[in-house]
Parts: sequence; C-alpha cells; structure tokens
Amino acid sequence: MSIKPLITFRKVKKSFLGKEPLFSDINLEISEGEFIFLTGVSGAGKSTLFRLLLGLEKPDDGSIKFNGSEVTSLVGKEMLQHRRSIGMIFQDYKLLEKRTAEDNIAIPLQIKGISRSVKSAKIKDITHKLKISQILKQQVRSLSGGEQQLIAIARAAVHSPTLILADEPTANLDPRMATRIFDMLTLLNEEGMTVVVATHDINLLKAHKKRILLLKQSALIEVH
Amino acid sequence: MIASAFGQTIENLRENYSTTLSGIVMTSFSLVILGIFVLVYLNLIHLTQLAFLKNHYSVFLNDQASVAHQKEISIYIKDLPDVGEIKKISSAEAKTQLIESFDEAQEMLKKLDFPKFPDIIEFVLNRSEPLTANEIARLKAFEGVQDVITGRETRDQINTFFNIANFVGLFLIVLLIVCMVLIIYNTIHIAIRMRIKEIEILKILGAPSEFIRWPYILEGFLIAVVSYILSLAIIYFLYSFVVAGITFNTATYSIRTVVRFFSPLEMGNLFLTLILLGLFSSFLAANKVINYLDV
Repeated sequence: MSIKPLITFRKVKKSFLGKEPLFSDINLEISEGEFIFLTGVSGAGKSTLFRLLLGLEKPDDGSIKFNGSEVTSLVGKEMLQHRRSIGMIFQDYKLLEKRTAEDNIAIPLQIKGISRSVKSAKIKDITHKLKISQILKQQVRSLSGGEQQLIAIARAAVHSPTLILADEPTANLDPRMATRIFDMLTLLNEEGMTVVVATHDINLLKAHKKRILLLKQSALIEVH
Repeated sequence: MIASAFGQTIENLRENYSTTLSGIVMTSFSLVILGIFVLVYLNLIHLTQLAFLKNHYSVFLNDQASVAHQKEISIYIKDLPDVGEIKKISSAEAKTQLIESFDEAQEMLKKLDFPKFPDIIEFVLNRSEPLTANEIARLKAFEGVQDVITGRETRDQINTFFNIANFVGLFLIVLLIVCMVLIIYNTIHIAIRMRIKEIEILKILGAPSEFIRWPYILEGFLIAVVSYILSLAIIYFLYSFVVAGITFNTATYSIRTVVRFFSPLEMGNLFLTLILLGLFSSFLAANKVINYLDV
C-alpha cells in the first residue's frame, strides 16, 4: 500500500520585488508521518517555504497541495481551517508573553471552540507528554528560552494537527535544550504527526538520520 | 465564543488597564457634559409646560412690610380683573416646605440656621393677557414690596433660551456623540495596536476575525457601561448640589419639585444609545486594524 502524499510542491516559483528569484522550480513531496529536515544557508528560503505552505505568501507560479487541497486557491474560512491543521513552531517562539504558559497552549483549542473540559484534558495530556506541567501556571516572559520553545511545541501539538512545521526551533538554545526539543518533536512524529524541521544546525542533521532537503541556489535538493 | 471572548477581554483589561481607564474617564467627561446639557434642555421643556408660568405672579415682601402694608397689597391684588387664587406664604412656611421637600435630610436641615426667607404673596390671573406695565409698576410701588416676579417673564426668558438651545443643542449633541465615538474608537484602536503582534500570531494560528475582534468589541461595551454609570452618578450629584444650592439661596423653595432628573425611561434610552455607540465604535476600530493585517 502506497503512503498518501501530505504535501506536494509542483514547479513552485517565488521571487520578491527587486530581488533574485528565491525559488525557480521547486518540486517536493512529503508523505504522511514523515520526519524531514529542511536545511540551507540563512536566506535560502526555508521560512518562505513554510509561509507558502501556510498560505501566508503566494507563489508566483506553480502548485502547492496540502492533504489534497490546493493551498494557493484557499480563501477565507478554508484558509483558516487549513492553518488550523498545521502546528507552527517559530525560532522566536511567538508566544503571548504576558499570558501564562497554559493560556498560550490553550489558544488553538479556543480558536477551534473546544469545550473547557476537553481543553483541560488536552492541555494536561500534552504538557505531561512534554514534561512541562510544572511551568504551566507561569507567565511566559518569566520562562527561559528553552522552556518557551517547549511551550511553543505544546501549543503547536495540543490540537493534534496533521503537520508540524518547526522553523529553526533550536537556533537560540544550548545543545542540551536543543536535544530535548528534538526529542519532543520525535515523540510527536512517533504519535503520527508529520514533522518538518527547518534548521542549519549541522550537528542536529548529523546526529539524526532523517530525510534531508537542502535549499541551494533557488533549488531544492534531496540529500542522503 | 462569547464566554471565551469575555475572558479575553478581562485579560486585555488587566494588561492594559491604563488605556481603558483613560478611555473611561474621557468618555465619562463627554457624557457628563452631554448629560448636563440634555438635563437642562429637558427641564426647559418641563418648565415651559408648567401652567403656573403662564400667568403667575410672586410678590416678594421685604422686612419693612407690616401687616397693614400686606393688607393694602392684598386688597389691590383682589381688585385686579380676572384674579384667581391668592396665596400668602410666610417665611416660616417657606422654611417648613423647604425642609419637607428633602426626604431623608429633614432632621439635619431642622438644625441648620437658614437665612431669613422673604414672605411672598402669590396669585394667578384667569386670563391669557398679563398684567400691564402700569399695574406691575403700581404693585411694585407699594410700601414693603421688594420685587414682583412674573411667570410670563420667566417663561419668555426660558423660551428665548429654549430657542437658542434648540439651535445650538442639536449641534452640541451631535458633536459630543462624535467625540464619544472617537474616544472609544481611539481607545480600542490603541489597545489593538499595542497587541498587534499577538493578533498576527493568532491569525497565523488560524484564528477567525471574529475570534480576534470580539474581545475588543466587548471592551468597548464595558467602557460604555462603566462610563454611563460613572457619568450618571456625577450628573446626579451635580443636580442635587445645584438644586439644594438654589433652594438655600433664594426663596424659590419649591424648585426641587419643579426641576427634575432623568426619568427611568430616559435613562434607559440613554443607556441603550450609549451601548450601541460603544459597540459601533469598537467594532469599527477592531475591523480597521484586523482588515489592515494582511495575514
């Protein structure tokens, strides 16, 4: 039985005004349940690839499919629904700093309009899994960078999305915390979520034998 | 959704209370000005409608008015054509009536040393024509008469003011309502601008516009409700203060029963108008920022 492709990029072109084309002809297929590293130098377009997938940017040309739907033609509620099916982890965490860790984790569930009891159970479950129950009531700004990233992971995964996109999740962290973050992402992948991690951390790539996609000179190259 | 938005509103207020507070203060200030104007306006309508103002006269007597003088004046009044009811109000009666008009403060007022009220002879004419200038002049010329106040004079003065108020009033009411809308609009706009990064995050996470918008609309609603209560309390305090002041300082002891506060229906209408304006302005502010975010 063949594995269903979750993400498909076909002949995707993207350029920004007054600059060289970022992508000239990107083709990509990611299957459900995969764990993928997306690498390349700074400015190679890793974040843009994620933004294209989230529908935050439009390609100049080409097709981007997610779960069978053409992302470039999604609008309004369909686009929001699409974004809700993806858990996003950012390099700078993008948490609501004045809120507690619990408030932040709860956001995707609130957006989905999930009841209070289910919400509590889901938050309890994910925080237990990521071993962050003890910091749940703390204000985000009082937490360390590593802890904040763990909260961001919990927020991305609490509503069990199909896909998790992590944009340089370990960039600002020490090696020990980076390993912990990676372990957590692996755990989520083992539970069935497809995980794509954008990183230029060579050590991380070497330490884990996963599929690697390299963005180089406007092209995407598969590295083995 | 509403419960979640309300929780979010409380969080927003906690984080950003100074902006909201300044919005409440400014809105209340506009409302106090608007409320005072509307109250004066309503009272003018009320006063002009009072029958006694049509052809009512008050003859204020001074300290030199002896019993004989008062009798002479009464006889003159009785002889006037179409004269109706004549009533004499003594200084003591004026004081008693004043004290009785203050329900809960009667005991306290009894202990106060009031300035002496003048005795008054009040009368009405059962016709539409007022006393002639000559008749009034003769009345004023009596020994012991301090002044003669005519209801018609008062009514005419009120009418003149009323005509001006009609003209200026509409402009002032519109101006103050626009001010209020702008204050609430700006308060919400600032509050949203301060949280623009949070809103961007929410949009990336797939939050629909109404999820982002509702807490701010509710904040505008709360500003309107709190400002309404606050300004109504201030206006009532000012009203009581002014009415009490007028009553203490002049012989128009019955003014408390003449000058009125807002009726429950008027207060309800003002409340509804304000709530709608609060919701409208916060909706506009939230929409503007959220639509501006091209995420």
